[in-house]
Amino acid sequence: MLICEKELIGGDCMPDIQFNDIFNTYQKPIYNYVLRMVRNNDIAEELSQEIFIKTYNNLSSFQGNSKISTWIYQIATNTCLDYFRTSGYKKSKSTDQLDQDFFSEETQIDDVSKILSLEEGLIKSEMAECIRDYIESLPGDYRTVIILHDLEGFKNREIANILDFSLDTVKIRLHRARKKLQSILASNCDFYRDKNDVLCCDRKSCKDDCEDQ
Amino acid sequence: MNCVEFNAIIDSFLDKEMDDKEVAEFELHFTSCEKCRNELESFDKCSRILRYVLRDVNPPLSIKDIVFRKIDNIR
Repeated sequence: MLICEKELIGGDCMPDIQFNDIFNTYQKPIYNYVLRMVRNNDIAEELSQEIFIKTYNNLSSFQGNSKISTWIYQIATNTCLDYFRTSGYKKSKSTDQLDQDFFSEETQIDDVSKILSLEEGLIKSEMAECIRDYIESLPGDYRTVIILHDLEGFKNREIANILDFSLDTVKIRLHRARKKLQSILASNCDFYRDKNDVLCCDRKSCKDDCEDQ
Repeated sequence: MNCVEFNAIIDSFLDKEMDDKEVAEFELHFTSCEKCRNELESFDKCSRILRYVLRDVNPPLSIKDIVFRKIDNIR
Protein backbone atom coordinates (compact mmCIF):
# COMPACT_ATOMS: atom_id res chain seq x y z
CA MET A 1 0.00 0.00 0.00
CA LEU A 2 2.63 2.47 1.03
CA ILE A 3 6.00 3.30 -0.39
CA CYS A 4 9.01 1.29 0.61
CA GLU A 5 10.03 2.60 4.01
CA LYS A 6 13.68 2.24 3.11
CA GLU A 7 13.24 4.75 0.37
CA LEU A 8 12.28 7.31 2.94
CA ILE A 9 14.17 6.40 6.05
CA GLY A 10 16.87 4.06 4.83
CA GLY A 11 19.68 4.19 7.37
CA ASP A 12 21.97 7.14 6.80
CA CYS A 13 19.47 8.76 4.47
CA MET A 14 17.45 10.02 7.44
CA PRO A 15 18.45 13.67 7.01
CA ASP A 16 17.48 13.48 3.38
CA ILE A 17 13.86 12.84 4.07
CA GLN A 18 11.91 14.97 1.69
CA PHE A 19 8.59 16.24 2.85
CA ASN A 20 7.33 16.26 -0.73
CA ASP A 21 7.91 12.52 -1.01
CA ILE A 22 6.15 11.89 2.27
CA PHE A 23 3.24 14.07 1.28
CA ASN A 24 2.84 12.43 -2.12
CA THR A 25 3.01 8.96 -0.61
CA TYR A 26 0.67 9.47 2.31
CA GLN A 27 -1.76 12.11 1.08
CA LYS A 28 -4.33 9.62 -0.20
CA PRO A 29 -4.11 7.00 2.58
CA ILE A 30 -4.17 9.62 5.33
CA TYR A 31 -7.08 11.49 3.80
CA ASN A 32 -9.05 8.25 3.46
CA TYR A 33 -8.16 7.18 7.00
CA VAL A 34 -9.36 10.50 8.40
CA LEU A 35 -12.48 10.40 6.23
CA ARG A 36 -13.33 6.95 7.58
CA MET A 37 -12.88 8.25 11.09
CA VAL A 38 -14.82 11.52 10.86
CA ARG A 39 -17.18 10.85 7.92
CA ASN A 40 -17.22 14.42 6.73
CA ASN A 41 -15.34 15.59 3.65
CA ASP A 42 -14.71 19.15 4.78
CA ILE A 43 -13.45 18.07 8.18
CA ALA A 44 -11.35 15.29 6.67
CA GLU A 45 -9.73 17.85 4.38
CA GLU A 46 -9.12 20.27 7.22
CA LEU A 47 -7.66 17.60 9.52
CA SER A 48 -5.51 16.17 6.72
CA GLN A 49 -3.98 19.61 6.22
CA GLU A 50 -3.34 19.86 9.94
CA ILE A 51 -1.74 16.41 10.00
CA PHE A 52 0.69 17.24 7.22
CA ILE A 53 1.61 20.58 8.74
CA LYS A 54 2.36 18.76 12.01
CA THR A 55 4.36 16.20 10.06
CA TYR A 56 6.39 18.95 8.44
CA ASN A 57 6.96 20.79 11.70
CA ASN A 58 8.11 17.64 13.51
CA LEU A 59 10.06 16.02 10.73
CA SER A 60 13.40 17.16 12.13
CA SER A 61 12.62 15.44 15.43
CA PHE A 62 11.62 12.13 13.85
CA GLN A 63 14.28 9.72 15.02
CA GLY A 64 13.42 6.76 12.85
CA ASN A 65 12.63 4.61 15.88
CA SER A 66 9.45 3.49 14.18
CA LYS A 67 8.36 3.17 10.59
CA ILE A 68 7.48 6.50 9.09
CA SER A 69 3.99 5.16 8.33
CA THR A 70 3.51 4.35 12.02
CA TRP A 71 4.65 7.83 12.97
CA ILE A 72 2.33 9.59 10.52
CA TYR A 73 -0.65 7.45 11.49
CA GLN A 74 0.09 8.29 15.14
CA ILE A 75 -0.13 11.97 14.26
CA ALA A 76 -3.31 11.33 12.26
CA THR A 77 -4.95 9.27 15.01
CA ASN A 78 -4.12 11.83 17.69
CA THR A 79 -5.39 14.65 15.48
CA CYS A 80 -8.68 12.80 14.98
CA LEU A 81 -8.98 12.07 18.70
CA ASP A 82 -8.32 15.72 19.50
CA TYR A 83 -11.05 16.61 17.06
CA PHE A 84 -13.48 14.16 18.70
CA ARG A 85 -12.70 15.72 22.07
CA THR A 86 -13.58 19.22 20.91
CA SER A 87 -16.91 20.46 22.17
CA GLY A 88 -18.08 21.31 18.68
CA TYR A 89 -17.89 17.72 17.48
CA LYS A 90 -21.18 16.22 16.56
CA LYS A 91 -21.61 13.08 14.58
CA SER A 92 -22.69 14.22 11.18
CA LYS A 93 -23.47 12.53 7.94
CA SER A 94 -22.60 13.92 4.58
CA THR A 95 -24.10 11.32 2.36
CA ASP A 96 -24.35 13.61 -0.60
CA GLN A 97 -20.70 14.59 -0.42
CA LEU A 98 -19.54 11.02 0.01
CA ASP A 99 -21.65 9.88 -2.88
CA GLN A 100 -20.30 12.66 -5.04
CA ASP A 101 -16.76 11.62 -4.19
CA PHE A 102 -17.55 8.04 -4.97
CA PHE A 103 -18.70 8.88 -8.44
CA SER A 104 -16.11 11.55 -9.11
CA GLU A 105 -13.41 9.00 -8.48
CA GLU A 106 -15.04 6.54 -10.81
CA THR A 107 -14.80 9.09 -13.57
CA GLN A 108 -11.07 9.40 -13.01
CA ILE A 109 -10.37 5.76 -13.76
CA ASP A 110 -8.62 5.64 -17.10
CA ASP A 111 -9.53 2.13 -18.11
CA VAL A 112 -13.09 2.43 -19.36
CA SER A 113 -13.61 -1.30 -18.98
CA LYS A 114 -13.15 -0.92 -15.26
CA ILE A 115 -15.80 1.70 -14.82
CA LEU A 116 -18.63 0.31 -12.76
CA SER A 117 -22.10 0.38 -14.13
CA LEU A 118 -24.30 3.09 -12.73
CA GLU A 119 -26.44 0.46 -11.08
CA GLU A 120 -23.49 -1.20 -9.39
CA GLY A 121 -22.20 2.20 -8.33
CA LEU A 122 -25.50 3.09 -6.73
CA ILE A 123 -25.76 -0.23 -4.93
CA LYS A 124 -22.22 0.07 -3.66
CA SER A 125 -22.74 3.63 -2.59
CA GLU A 126 -25.84 2.74 -0.61
CA MET A 127 -24.04 -0.18 0.98
CA ALA A 128 -21.09 2.02 1.89
CA GLU A 129 -23.33 4.51 3.61
CA CYS A 130 -25.03 1.74 5.54
CA ILE A 131 -21.74 0.13 6.59
CA ARG A 132 -20.34 3.51 7.62
CA ASP A 133 -23.30 3.90 9.97
CA TYR A 134 -22.52 0.55 11.54
CA ILE A 135 -18.81 1.31 11.89
CA GLU A 136 -19.64 4.64 13.45
CA SER A 137 -21.84 2.88 15.98
CA LEU A 138 -18.82 0.91 17.27
CA PRO A 139 -17.09 2.17 20.41
CA GLY A 140 -14.23 4.56 19.52
CA ASP A 141 -11.30 2.21 20.16
CA TYR A 142 -12.96 -0.63 18.30
CA ARG A 143 -13.64 1.62 15.34
CA THR A 144 -10.06 2.87 15.20
CA VAL A 145 -8.58 -0.63 15.46
CA ILE A 146 -10.79 -2.19 12.80
CA ILE A 147 -10.20 0.70 10.39
CA LEU A 148 -6.43 0.55 10.88
CA HIS A 149 -6.37 -3.22 10.49
CA ASP A 150 -8.97 -4.17 7.92
CA LEU A 151 -8.94 -1.02 5.80
CA GLU A 152 -5.51 0.55 6.23
CA GLY A 153 -3.73 -2.81 6.27
CA PHE A 154 -1.63 -2.43 9.40
CA LYS A 155 -0.42 -5.42 11.39
CA ASN A 156 -1.44 -5.76 15.03
CA ARG A 157 2.02 -4.81 16.28
CA GLU A 158 2.02 -1.66 14.16
CA ILE A 159 -1.42 -0.72 15.49
CA ALA A 160 -0.12 -1.23 19.02
CA ASN A 161 2.64 1.29 18.26
CA ILE A 162 0.28 3.78 16.63
CA LEU A 163 -2.24 3.69 19.48
CA ASP A 164 0.26 3.05 22.26
CA PHE A 165 -1.61 -0.09 23.30
CA SER A 166 -0.20 -3.47 24.22
CA LEU A 167 -0.29 -6.11 21.49
CA ASP A 168 -2.80 -8.13 23.50
CA THR A 169 -5.08 -5.12 23.85
CA VAL A 170 -5.07 -4.61 20.08
CA LYS A 171 -5.86 -8.29 19.48
CA ILE A 172 -8.71 -8.26 21.98
CA ARG A 173 -10.22 -5.04 20.62
CA LEU A 174 -9.91 -6.19 17.03
CA HIS A 175 -11.62 -9.46 17.86
CA ARG A 176 -14.40 -7.71 19.74
CA ALA A 177 -14.80 -5.12 16.99
CA ARG A 178 -15.11 -7.84 14.34
CA LYS A 179 -17.49 -9.78 16.51
CA LYS A 180 -19.63 -6.72 17.12
CA LEU A 181 -19.66 -5.71 13.45
CA GLN A 182 -20.36 -9.27 12.38
CA SER A 183 -23.29 -9.36 14.77
CA ILE A 184 -24.62 -6.00 13.52
CA LEU A 185 -24.35 -7.08 9.88
CA ALA A 186 -25.99 -10.43 10.61
CA SER A 187 -28.86 -8.69 12.38
CA ASN A 188 -29.41 -5.93 9.86
CA CYS A 189 -28.25 -7.04 6.43
CA ASP A 190 -28.96 -9.72 3.88
CA PHE A 191 -26.01 -10.03 1.52
CA TYR A 192 -26.38 -11.74 -1.84
CA ARG A 193 -25.14 -11.59 -5.40
CA ASP A 194 -27.52 -10.41 -8.09
CA LYS A 195 -27.85 -11.85 -11.60
CA ASN A 196 -24.83 -9.79 -12.71
CA ASP A 197 -22.74 -11.17 -9.83
CA VAL A 198 -22.73 -7.80 -8.09
CA LEU A 199 -22.59 -8.01 -4.30
CA CYS A 200 -25.78 -6.44 -2.91
CA CYS A 201 -27.48 -6.19 0.42
CA ASP A 202 -30.94 -5.50 1.73
CA ARG A 203 -31.65 -4.08 5.14
CA LYS A 204 -33.49 -6.83 6.94
CA SER A 205 -35.94 -4.50 8.62
CA CYS A 206 -36.76 -2.78 5.32
CA LYS A 207 -37.10 -6.08 3.54
CA ASP A 208 -39.34 -7.46 6.26
CA ASP A 209 -41.39 -4.26 6.28
CA CYS A 210 -41.75 -4.39 2.52
CA GLU A 211 -42.79 -8.02 2.59
CA ASP A 212 -45.32 -7.30 5.29
CA GLN A 213 -47.01 -4.72 3.12
CA MET B 1 -8.79 -28.14 19.32
CA ASN B 2 -12.23 -27.31 20.66
CA CYS B 3 -14.61 -24.49 19.67
CA VAL B 4 -13.47 -22.13 22.43
CA GLU B 5 -9.82 -22.50 21.42
CA PHE B 6 -10.81 -22.07 17.79
CA ASN B 7 -12.64 -18.84 18.53
CA ALA B 8 -9.69 -17.47 20.47
CA ILE B 9 -7.33 -17.71 17.49
CA ILE B 10 -9.68 -17.00 14.60
CA ASP B 11 -8.12 -13.54 14.13
CA SER B 12 -4.62 -14.99 13.98
CA PHE B 13 -5.77 -17.24 11.16
CA LEU B 14 -7.40 -14.43 9.22
CA ASP B 15 -4.36 -12.23 9.78
CA LYS B 16 -2.02 -15.00 8.60
CA GLU B 17 -0.10 -14.96 11.86
CA MET B 18 -0.02 -18.73 12.38
CA ASP B 19 2.73 -21.20 11.65
CA ASP B 20 2.05 -24.27 9.50
CA LYS B 21 1.36 -26.55 12.47
CA GLU B 22 -1.19 -24.14 13.94
CA VAL B 23 -2.87 -23.70 10.57
CA ALA B 24 -3.15 -27.48 10.18
CA GLU B 25 -4.81 -27.82 13.61
CA PHE B 26 -7.10 -24.89 12.88
CA GLU B 27 -8.15 -26.28 9.51
CA LEU B 28 -8.69 -29.73 10.97
CA HIS B 29 -11.20 -28.25 13.40
CA PHE B 30 -13.16 -26.08 11.03
CA THR B 31 -13.49 -28.79 8.41
CA SER B 32 -15.18 -30.97 11.00
CA CYS B 33 -17.20 -28.30 12.85
CA GLU B 34 -19.94 -26.57 10.92
CA LYS B 35 -20.55 -23.96 13.63
CA CYS B 36 -16.93 -22.83 13.62
CA ARG B 37 -16.76 -22.96 9.83
CA ASN B 38 -19.74 -20.63 9.67
CA GLU B 39 -18.12 -18.37 12.25
CA LEU B 40 -14.90 -18.19 10.23
CA GLU B 41 -16.76 -17.48 7.00
CA SER B 42 -18.79 -14.79 8.70
CA PHE B 43 -15.66 -13.08 10.09
CA ASP B 44 -13.95 -13.27 6.74
CA LYS B 45 -17.01 -11.98 4.91
CA CYS B 46 -17.25 -9.05 7.28
CA SER B 47 -13.68 -7.94 6.48
CA ARG B 48 -14.17 -8.43 2.74
CA ILE B 49 -17.37 -6.41 2.77
CA LEU B 50 -15.59 -3.57 4.54
CA ARG B 51 -12.85 -3.50 1.93
CA TYR B 52 -15.35 -3.82 -0.91
CA VAL B 53 -17.65 -0.99 0.03
CA LEU B 54 -15.23 1.42 1.68
CA ARG B 55 -12.81 1.87 -1.17
CA ASP B 56 -10.36 4.74 -1.27
CA VAL B 57 -11.37 8.04 -2.81
CA ASN B 58 -9.03 10.66 -4.19
CA PRO B 59 -8.32 13.51 -1.81
CA PRO B 60 -9.30 17.00 -2.95
CA LEU B 61 -6.53 18.82 -4.79
CA SER B 62 -6.89 21.76 -2.43
CA ILE B 63 -5.16 19.84 0.37
CA LYS B 64 -1.85 20.01 -1.43
CA ASP B 65 -2.22 23.68 -2.32
CA ILE B 66 -3.08 24.71 1.21
CA VAL B 67 -0.46 22.54 2.93
CA PHE B 68 2.37 23.80 0.75
CA ARG B 69 1.18 27.40 1.01
CA LYS B 70 1.20 27.14 4.79
CA ILE B 71 4.63 25.54 4.72
CA ASP B 72 5.93 28.38 2.58
CA ASN B 73 4.71 30.77 5.25
CA ILE B 74 6.48 28.75 7.95
CA ARG B 75 9.82 28.77 6.12
